Amino acid sequence: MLSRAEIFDKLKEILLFADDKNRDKIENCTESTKLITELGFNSVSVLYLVIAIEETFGIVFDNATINDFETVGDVITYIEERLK
Amino acid sequence: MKEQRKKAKLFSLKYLFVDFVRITGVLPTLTWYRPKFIYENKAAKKKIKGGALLVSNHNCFFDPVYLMLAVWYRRQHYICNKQFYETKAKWFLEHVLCIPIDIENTGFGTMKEINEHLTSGEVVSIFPEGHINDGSGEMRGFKSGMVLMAMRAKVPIIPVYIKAHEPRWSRLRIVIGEAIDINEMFGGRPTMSDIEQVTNLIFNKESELKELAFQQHGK
Repeated sequence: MLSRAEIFDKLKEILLFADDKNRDKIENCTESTKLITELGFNSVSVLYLVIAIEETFGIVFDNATINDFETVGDVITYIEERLK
Repeated sequence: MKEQRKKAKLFSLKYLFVDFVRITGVLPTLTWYRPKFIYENKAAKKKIKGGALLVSNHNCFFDPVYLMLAVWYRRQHYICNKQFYETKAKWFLEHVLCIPIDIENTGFGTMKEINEHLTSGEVVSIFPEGHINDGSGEMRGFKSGMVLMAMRAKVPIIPVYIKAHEPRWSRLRIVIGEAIDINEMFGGRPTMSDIEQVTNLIFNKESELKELAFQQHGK
């Protein structure tokens, strides 16, 4: 079982791969960083993130919507719950 | 090794209504629209086999019907705005295989449903402009979601351009492009920039098909 910090690190790796132009913001992001307003994500990049997370962590996002994930921490919490 | 393409089911009770609509609707629509299909090249004439994402510009509410005429030999699932499911049309939309999508707040369950249709060898049609355009013939920008759908399900994108049906007594012109296999473009997982690049490529392809539609029309 991965710890919250390990999930965060893996998530950062995914984010860095997805959006290299935003490297500084992603490297310095915290759990309270907002995906849309601070990292500049849009609905498509959130969907991209979800696909990448599903492939990396082997989980399925099925009962959630884009608006359920406001911050990086929300994503980590969802992954954590799914991995239990 | 080339992956074996899945074939969609030929018969199922859930297709009864949509097949009834297709069979009974074909004669009146062919008579009224007298569609002329223009193919980008020889490869575009190939029949679609297995799962595929049909991508088209969006001029009017009848575009799904036009797509049905263009790819008459395959049943299609149409991605449609969830708002229409709050109207009396809900029952009809459900039975003609529409997939409701909340544009403002997309649910991951919807993406999963689309992926299941595509990976099980079915055809899904999408209008990536998001809404009907203003009718001037100019397309709105395309949303990148379609690229994610095709990438995830590992299916080709088939670009289609529908020329606005004006004047009403003219022949309807539909241009069908060659299948674009976006999965061949990337070795591994693409980045967001790659996805934007493919979205632009498909938009440019649609613009090329549009030119073909107007050239063939002598305008």
